[in-house]
Amino acid sequence: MIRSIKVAAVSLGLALGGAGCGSFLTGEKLSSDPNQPSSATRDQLFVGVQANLFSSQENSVAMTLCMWMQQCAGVGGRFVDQYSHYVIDEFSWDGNWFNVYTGGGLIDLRKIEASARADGDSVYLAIAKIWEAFDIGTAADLWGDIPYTDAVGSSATPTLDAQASVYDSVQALLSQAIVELGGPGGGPGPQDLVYGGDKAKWIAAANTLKARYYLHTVEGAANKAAVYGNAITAASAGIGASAGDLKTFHTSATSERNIWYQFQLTTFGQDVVAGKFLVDLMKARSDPRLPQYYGKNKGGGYGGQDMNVPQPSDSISAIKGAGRNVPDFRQPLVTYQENELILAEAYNQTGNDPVALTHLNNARAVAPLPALVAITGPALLDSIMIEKYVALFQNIEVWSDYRRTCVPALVPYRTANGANPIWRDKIPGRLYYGGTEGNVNSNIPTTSQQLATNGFRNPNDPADCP
Amino acid sequence: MRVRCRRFVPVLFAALCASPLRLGAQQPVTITGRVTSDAGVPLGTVEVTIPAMGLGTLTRDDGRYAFLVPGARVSGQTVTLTARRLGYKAQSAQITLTAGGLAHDFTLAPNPLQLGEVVVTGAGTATATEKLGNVRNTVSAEQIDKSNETNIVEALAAKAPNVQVTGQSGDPGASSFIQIRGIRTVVGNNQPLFIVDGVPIDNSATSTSSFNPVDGGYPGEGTVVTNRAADLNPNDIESLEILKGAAAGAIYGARAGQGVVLITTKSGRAGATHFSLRSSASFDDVSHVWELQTKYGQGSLRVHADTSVGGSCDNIGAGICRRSWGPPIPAGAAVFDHARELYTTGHVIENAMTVSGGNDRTTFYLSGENLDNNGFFVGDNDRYNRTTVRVKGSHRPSEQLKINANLSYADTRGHYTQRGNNVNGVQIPVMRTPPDFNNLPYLDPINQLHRSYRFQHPKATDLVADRGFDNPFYDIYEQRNLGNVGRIFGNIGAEYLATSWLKFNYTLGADYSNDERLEGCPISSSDVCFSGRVIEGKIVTYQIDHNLTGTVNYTISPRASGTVTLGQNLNSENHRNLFQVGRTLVAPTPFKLSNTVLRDPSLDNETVIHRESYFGQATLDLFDQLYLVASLRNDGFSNFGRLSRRAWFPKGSAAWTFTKAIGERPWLTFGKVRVAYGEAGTEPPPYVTTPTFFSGIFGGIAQGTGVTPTQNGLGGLLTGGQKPADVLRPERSKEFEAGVDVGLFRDRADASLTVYSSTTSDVILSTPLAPSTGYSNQYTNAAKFRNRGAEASLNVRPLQKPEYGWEVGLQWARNRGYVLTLNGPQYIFFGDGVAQVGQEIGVHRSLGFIRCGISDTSLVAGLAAACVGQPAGALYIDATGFPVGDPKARIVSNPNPRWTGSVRTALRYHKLQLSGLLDIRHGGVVANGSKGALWSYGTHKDTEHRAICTSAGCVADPNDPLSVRTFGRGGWYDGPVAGPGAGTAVPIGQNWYNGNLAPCPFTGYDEACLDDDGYVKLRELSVTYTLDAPWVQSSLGLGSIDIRVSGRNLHTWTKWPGFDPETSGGGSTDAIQGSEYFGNPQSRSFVFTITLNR
Repeated sequence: MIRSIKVAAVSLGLALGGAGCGSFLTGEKLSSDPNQPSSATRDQLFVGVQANLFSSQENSVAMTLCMWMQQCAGVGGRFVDQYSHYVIDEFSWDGNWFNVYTGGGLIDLRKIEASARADGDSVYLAIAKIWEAFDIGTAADLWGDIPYTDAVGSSATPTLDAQASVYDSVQALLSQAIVELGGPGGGPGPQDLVYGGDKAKWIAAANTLKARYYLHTVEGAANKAAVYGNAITAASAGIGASAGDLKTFHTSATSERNIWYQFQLTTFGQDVVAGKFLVDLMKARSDPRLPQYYGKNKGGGYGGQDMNVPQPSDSISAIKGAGRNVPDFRQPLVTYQENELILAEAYNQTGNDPVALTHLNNARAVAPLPALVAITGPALLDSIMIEKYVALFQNIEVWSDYRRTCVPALVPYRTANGANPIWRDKIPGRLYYGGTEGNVNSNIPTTSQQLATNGFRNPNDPADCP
Repeated sequence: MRVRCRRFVPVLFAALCASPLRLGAQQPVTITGRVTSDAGVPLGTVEVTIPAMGLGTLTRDDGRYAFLVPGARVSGQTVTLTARRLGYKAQSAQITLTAGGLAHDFTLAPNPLQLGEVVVTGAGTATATEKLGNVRNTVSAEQIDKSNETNIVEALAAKAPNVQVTGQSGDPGASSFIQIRGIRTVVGNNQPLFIVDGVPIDNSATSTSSFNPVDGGYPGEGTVVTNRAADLNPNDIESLEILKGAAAGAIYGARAGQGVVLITTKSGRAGATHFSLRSSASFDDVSHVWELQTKYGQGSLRVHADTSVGGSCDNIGAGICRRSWGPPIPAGAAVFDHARELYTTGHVIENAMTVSGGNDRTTFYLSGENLDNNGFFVGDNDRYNRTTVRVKGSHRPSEQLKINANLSYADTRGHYTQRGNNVNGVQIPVMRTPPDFNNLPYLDPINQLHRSYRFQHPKATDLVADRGFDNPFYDIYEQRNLGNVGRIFGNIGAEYLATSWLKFNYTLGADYSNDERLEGCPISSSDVCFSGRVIEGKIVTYQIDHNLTGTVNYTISPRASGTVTLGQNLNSENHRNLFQVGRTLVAPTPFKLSNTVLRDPSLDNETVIHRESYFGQATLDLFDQLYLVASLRNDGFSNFGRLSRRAWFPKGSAAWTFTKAIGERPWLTFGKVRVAYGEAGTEPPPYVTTPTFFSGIFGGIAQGTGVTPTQNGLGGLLTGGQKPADVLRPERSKEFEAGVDVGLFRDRADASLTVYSSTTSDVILSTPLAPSTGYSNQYTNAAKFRNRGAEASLNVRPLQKPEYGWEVGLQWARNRGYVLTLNGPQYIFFGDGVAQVGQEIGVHRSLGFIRCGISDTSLVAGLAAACVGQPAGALYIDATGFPVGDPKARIVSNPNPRWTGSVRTALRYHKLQLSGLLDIRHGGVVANGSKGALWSYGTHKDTEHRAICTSAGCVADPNDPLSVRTFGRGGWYDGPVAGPGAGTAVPIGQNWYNGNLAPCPFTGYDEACLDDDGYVKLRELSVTYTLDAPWVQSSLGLGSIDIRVSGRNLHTWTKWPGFDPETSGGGSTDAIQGSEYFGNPQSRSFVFTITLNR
């Protein structure tokens, strides 16, 4: 009996003492996550950043704007169809807002830049800055005033920077990058999925981007000629051949495929179909790119959906063009054609129509389309913008061009009775801020305030389209 | 540890081999007798024992008992013989052991208040019922048996007030969700801790779909899930205690915030070996179907889709084929009943046996069960098979030491059916099929390829081609969705009585399961299953639990005594999930990863949590009427934040049996008031305090799309969206509870009333961060919730005669949970609901219509003017006669019930018993996504009344007055209206049902499709006859035969327009119940059971 008590007491003491040292609660798989890496190198982050920025340019926003720009249309009665009918809310592009700032966005670009700076790799730093400019420049295009100087820092509720100042920052980043590309450092090399580390191509692309973002400020500019002049300067050093196009990167591997292609494989993706406006336009132009952009309809021809006048479903083409609907299609983001058309517009707007026409025809030659002759003035501008509208199919830049030039003359979606009280029969001029940001960040105006401000348009878009 | 295991085997062997009727060396004494109730009914399973000698037995169902006192222990002494059974007052008698036979009969009086009975209160502590300071909710083996549920959690439905159970659906193996006293947390799935025989068990539920983020990753998209408590054989359960709230569960500290379910399994008892064989057969059918329209065919704007060979409906892109907005189906043309065509009668066959017994030193209990459930879908692919065995034994090597072992093995095999938000699931395809399309045969008669309404004539080259939506029969017959589980759980332990006042109790528990999953979509599937898809995975969990307690009994004076318990608990819990998705089948079969062309990035997720806790409890009984309890637990968990590794959880309670002070009255035979205060917690998820980098899928648009950070063979990573938590404390619920229990009119009635108020502070939330900070969320102690409520029960026994009896039990409960504070965001999503300050926990935030006083007046010109003089909430109707969507999201509905209740009754007439159970859930409003989608597709029954919509517009159907509606009246969004179109009758057809507002899941305007999901449900109705006539004994050699015919879930009265309101999309993985999107229906059953006892 006594012995048993002793045994029990000793066991109890052992159990209590043995566990009491604390090591039971810490250690491998207890103190840190065994499932995810806890550190990442600059190269790993850089590959991830590119994957994020590629998909951001191909997913929901691109799909929606393709529909709003009537290059595409939405059917099927589900979210794609609703987006095409401007039935949108603050969560429609919440994920795209995340992609600007969170992993793969600004936070990782800053980490890459810090690391490149620390290692004295000026080339790596420059390329990261170009991506940063593209990332936040796109965000300013979509949302106008956005958190930038305060973002990804210590503030839990970053304040909004005026859209104009964000564009100024974009220009500054690009200018620095162009200089730094001439500096020391090995750069990302093969981790660079676009140009494989080719510095000259990056310098050209940075110049074309500069030109693009100059144009984004021209509509409200006091001195438009100066802005166009800046655009000409930049674009003159821009992408000089299609081989220099800045394109996304994809392979046929499941998780590396083009998002447009992936989406077309799904039941929701089939809800995005050809838009009647662009199909009809390309048919009228006998545009050779029609079969690259769209699949054939049931009758073996091409047709699109009109959001106001439902078309027979057998007449509508899918977004399954032979040229683009392949898993490894590299979506053009910033191209030689855009560069030429920026030059064409800028020369046209600064009174130099012959040079403008040359640049327009340079762009048309890529299609290929025959050269145009003897067009001047507003008719030339219209031709340039129409050319850009066709050439930049699926590129969200089309929407930026439309908002400032109102070309082409699209008829916005109107409900059957002509009543569309929230949208006033207009194509929405910006996106709602992401709902998550609005939930947490009190600097974000409410959805109603956003609707009530400047006709739901960004500051760089003072004038409404008809 | 190894020593214990070696010793365990011979113990068990001894238990199995011991002859219960072992003869003693000299002059044994046989004690026999019969136990009846004071109504004269023979009582089975009465424990008749000589406690001093550790000898005894159980009565048979005819009330008779017999056991032997070995001669070696007989010395002519006088001992106490006791008879006790749950629900009856124990009786004792003094008998003198002399050689030969000895007979004693007992008559037991009912003890409806269960006074004097021992209640386990957790962590090795127990007390007598009347000493409890908390409300007690016990569920007996009989109640579990009568529920006819195969899942122990579902069996708890309507058994206790404020214990809300929701079944996922009627599929075999579907999970059940249990919520005690409202939503207290939003971490995980808000389920209570399950403890079996003192050892925590895994009750997780894991969807295979969760491991396929590429295709959506939401449990509402795959098959039903099983909650792992379903691996328990309900026949093994002797009793079940529900510890509600922090005041009762504090002894379990940081894991008891959602309550605790304590399960005690059956044990063998000394005496004659008891055999029982139970066999039941059930016939199941669907309780409610979605009613669908049968008047209009496939098409759009009254144009029928071209369904000829090579026509529009052989092109999945053709919008005209998707919906049923075509012209009226001509009289005489074939119409198909898609609401019912998938269902047939399902079956459950269950056979269970138990053998138990023992002698004065050794007891044993053996059980086996086989359950085969073939569900209500046609075909053989919805099945759930469970085989369990349990071995339980104890041995007393010395008077001081008792050692025991208890092991159960469960083998469960599920064959499931895809459903939910999923075009490879059965419900979306079948309910969206136009009424004039025949889903059968599902294979083309010529080339034997999969045909569906959007792809009606597959060509021979279309083996691999998207069908738009699968044919539901193709999914039912050709898919394979398996979940095969092997699980072993149980414990070994010892009780050591060191001295008369000091006792040690040790338990070492283990729980291991390996769950092998397969989801195989055949090669001609649609959408995300295009070209076939195979998901293979393993979910492995293992848990070791060590629990040591020492209890001191002390007596200060005859009027003051009590106990002090000290204990230690160590626990190691491990989960591992390994999954791989393969796409594009090489050959049509087999469904093996090795037979696929492409693989998604594999998923490998493991979690390890260690817990180290110390606890103590002291009780003090004063004057035999005042009972005080105080306890304290200190928890140290590896998943607490670095800076707060340990936490304290106190509790205190007092119970006063005031009838002992004031004396019993004829109308008040027992009265007790009680108060309790306790704190309990919810542990944080693991690994939220360390930074991580992300390598998974992201950046897609919808299910089936996305990329990885790794590209072109170059490893890529992203900074994880989850910001590491700085300090994370366990969530803490502080609960105060008070109540009164009374026995009335000489036990003819009893009543209980409890009120409680619980404040949960430091609520752990995955708090959204502003994405512009670079992070998406962070786990923080971000909120404070409060739950308050009341629970009442009343049991009345108006008739209690030997030949007949009648009793009625009523239960009622309400709970209101509010969010008091929230740090950071304005609201936080969890499940389908949100936490938002000032709102009930879990309300639904979505888009609604523009309404006066709610919507910003800047949204629509003239809104302010139109609302002058109108009540707040008046629906704005624009000039067209229709409402307008408000783009600013708001709270549109509250899914929490207003109150819940139940009515139970039992009638007895001689050997015949009749009982019934009614379950009531009042209120709770849910966005009915299935309804909105079926409106859009023009197949919902509502759309049978439709305006004539053509490409020229919509006009009234002159033959159908309901094709025109006025918003605000006549059952059409009733309520005040304002605006230029108020009161205007408008045509309602494809324009509305397939428009930009009404089909809520597609538009986001959930206000358009809200429904009340309250119900009154007849859960149980049964008739039992007990056959114990002498011939049963003499000619069959049996003690008794119970024959029961019962109905389960027989009828539901509800306003809910779909499947039974008791369904839930994600099942027990959802923190908030009631999400509705093409889940499977509920079942109702007729069950025949026969039990043979010997």
